[in-house]
Order: sequence, then C-alpha cells, then structure tokens
Amino acid sequence: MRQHLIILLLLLLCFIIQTTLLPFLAVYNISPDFILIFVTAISMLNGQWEGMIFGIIAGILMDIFYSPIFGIYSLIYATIGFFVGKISKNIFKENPFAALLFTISDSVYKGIVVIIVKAALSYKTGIGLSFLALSLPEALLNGIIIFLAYDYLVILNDQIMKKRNKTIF
Amino acid sequence: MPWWEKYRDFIIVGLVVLVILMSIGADLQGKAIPGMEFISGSFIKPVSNTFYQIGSKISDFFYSLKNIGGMKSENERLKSMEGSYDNLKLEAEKLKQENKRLKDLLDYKESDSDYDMIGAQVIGKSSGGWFDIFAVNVGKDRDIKKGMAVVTDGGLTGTVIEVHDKWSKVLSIIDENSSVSVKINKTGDNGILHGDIDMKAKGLASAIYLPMTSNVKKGDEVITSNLGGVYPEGLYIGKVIKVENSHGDLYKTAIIKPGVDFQRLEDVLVIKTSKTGIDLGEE
Repeated sequence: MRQHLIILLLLLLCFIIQTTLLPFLAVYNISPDFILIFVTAISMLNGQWEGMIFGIIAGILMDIFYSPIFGIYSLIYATIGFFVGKISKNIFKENPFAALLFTISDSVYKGIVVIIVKAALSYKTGIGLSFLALSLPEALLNGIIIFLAYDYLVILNDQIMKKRNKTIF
Repeated sequence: MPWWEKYRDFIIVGLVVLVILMSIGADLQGKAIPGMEFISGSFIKPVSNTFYQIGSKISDFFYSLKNIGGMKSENERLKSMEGSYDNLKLEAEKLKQENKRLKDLLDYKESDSDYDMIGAQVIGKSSGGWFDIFAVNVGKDRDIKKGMAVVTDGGLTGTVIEVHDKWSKVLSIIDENSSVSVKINKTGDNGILHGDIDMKAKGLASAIYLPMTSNVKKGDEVITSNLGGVYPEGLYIGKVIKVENSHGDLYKTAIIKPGVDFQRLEDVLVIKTSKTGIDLGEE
C-alpha cells in the first residue's frame, strides 16, 4: 500500500509540473508529456494493472482540469498503461531502448486518439498538420526524455518497491 | 478453465474503456463525478496555484534577462514620447469635454462601457498544443458563470466554459474550438476570429469571413463586435499584421497578433456583466 502511495504522489507531482511549469517552456507549442512518460515506465516495470490504474488516475485529473470534455485523457492513459504492461511482459524491462520504442509509439497513439476525438467534436483542425506539427515532435521529445531518464526511473522504482518487501515480511 | 480465462485481461480493460466512454456520454449531458469537486478544489487547486506562480516568476526572470539589451533603447524611446504625451492629454481632455457637451445636447444614452470585473489568478494551463485551456482560481464561490469573458491588460483572453465550486475552466480564444465575432475598429467590418494549430504555434490567430470590399490594412485594431452575444462589445483583441485573400477570393482573411501573451498568462480579469437575454444552452 505504502509504495503505491509514493507512486501516486510522484504521479501528482508529474501532473502539477506538466500543467504549471512546462507551459512556460513550450517552444512552438511542443512540450513533453510527463504523465505519459511516467505511466509508460510504471507499466513496463510493474505490470499492466498498475499501469492502467495510475493511468486512469492521471487521466481523470487531466480530464477534470484541462480537457474540453471528460474522458479523453482517461481513455488514452488507461489504454496506454494496460497495453504497454501487457506487451512488455516478455522483454528485457531494464532496457532504455525498449522504453524509447514504447514511448514513441504511445505518443503517436495519443496523438491519433486526440485527433479522432477532435474530428468527432467537429473541431476545425487540419489532421495531417496536427499530426506533423504536434504529435511527431512530442513523440520524439518524450522518447528522448525517457531514454535519458529511464535508468534513474528503474532505480527509483526498485527503491520504492523494496519497501514493499520490508513491510510485508 | 472456462473459455474466457485466456481473454480475462482484455475483457477487464474492455469494460474499463466502456465505462470511460459512457462517462464521456454522461459528461456531454452535463453531469459531474461525485467527490471530485472537493479533491480538485481543496487539494489540487492550491498546490497548482503555488507552482504556477513559481513558474511564472522564473519565466519572468528569464524573459527580462532576454530583453535586457532592448531596455536602454526602449527607455530612450519612451522618454522622447513623454513630451508629446502631455499635449495629447490636454487634447484628449478637451475632446472629452466637447464630446460630453454634444452628447448632452443629443440626449444620447451611454452604453455600458464600464464592466463589473473580478480579478483571478491562473492556476494551470494545458501543456502541448492539443487544447488551449487554462484554469483560474475563481468559481461558483465568486458567482462566476459559464460564458463570461476573461480578459487581461492585453485584451480578450478567453471564455469560461466550465464552472466548479472553487475554480473554473477557460477556453483561450486561440483554441481551434473557439470562435469570436470581431470587428475591425477602423473600417467596421465584421469577421470571425478562429484559432488554428499553425498560427497558434506562432502566437497568432486569424479573422476569417471579412468582406472582399473591406479596406482592412496592416496595423488596424481588432475588437469584439456586438454580434454573437457571448462577449461584451468593444474588447480589444489585437492588431492585424497581414491580410490575405482566401476561399476562392470570396472573403478576406486577416492574420492577427493578439495583445495577450498566451504562454505567459498570470493575472486575469473575469467580466461578470454578461449580456442578458441570450441563451447559451446551459441551465
């Protein structure tokens, strides 16, 4: 229980940083998605259920505060958490290249879902342009960040999860 | 082992997705999740507000560092303008008196040019270019209602789209989903201001459906018009920086540089006098 609380607090920190500090740093509207990176890492290291649950929690927060209708981000982060955990089951999890690959495909998936939702809400938006100008740069940025930070995330996760064994045994 | 055991995980995630999709439907009908008001208003809002202030201060610091070179020349320019300012002030006063006298003669009824406004702080902003939405720290507790206009000293910023107990959600005018009925102040032509992904990245917006006969030029000021009924009339939006012909030359499109710096929003004002008699499709 305690280790999940720590992860939850870190997730909240990601949410706060993403919505308060990152907007000031955005260049050409591109800024990294810390929640997506964090959920991907949690899901790869701890399995699909934790990935999905933390994905839903972060998604609900994003939906409440910063989405035009409720449900877009919950849907995206929940499915990302689940499928990353499921697919990464049989691979070497501490490999930053795997994390890079998963994050880039995640981000592209997120972009596609948002573009579909925008089209369904009849936004006047160029599909190809949003994909090229927003989705791809964001995916690359997320990939670079997780590639550089993944080793530390693995160590952090090990530290948090070690406490589980101590409290149980 | 029953047949579905193999697909158990996928069945669960399918159910979760279904619940989320159903909540999307529920949200469209205007329902809220119980308990979230308390968590978002009492826990997230203060923390987010503090962090946003810190971010804003840091950003201000680097912004002023970046612009330190231009400060001297700007200072000189302002000093040279100071002389002409006094004359302008006298002239304005004279014209004001004259205007008042003539209006009195005509028994002219002044329209509401003073708005009832309330100050607010931005507590967070969506990052990335997907949606341009920010949250402010006033809500139902300060009588904010959906559809109220949000302005800064730079001009019109957005409109309130969702009101919660202690905070509200604001849609920027440069979001793709936002349309503002605008008027070119000099020529009086009406148009519609639309957000656009390409423009948004450069901090610009475009006003479309300006008539072909319009004499709109670079440098003209753009204000809100009285059409549409969402925004009060006469709020400053920005300046025209380029005029293009488009839509098979049926309309003109003006590229507008808004007076507001949407990346560095901090203190905003919510205009509480919304027009009466207009149904926004709510409540």
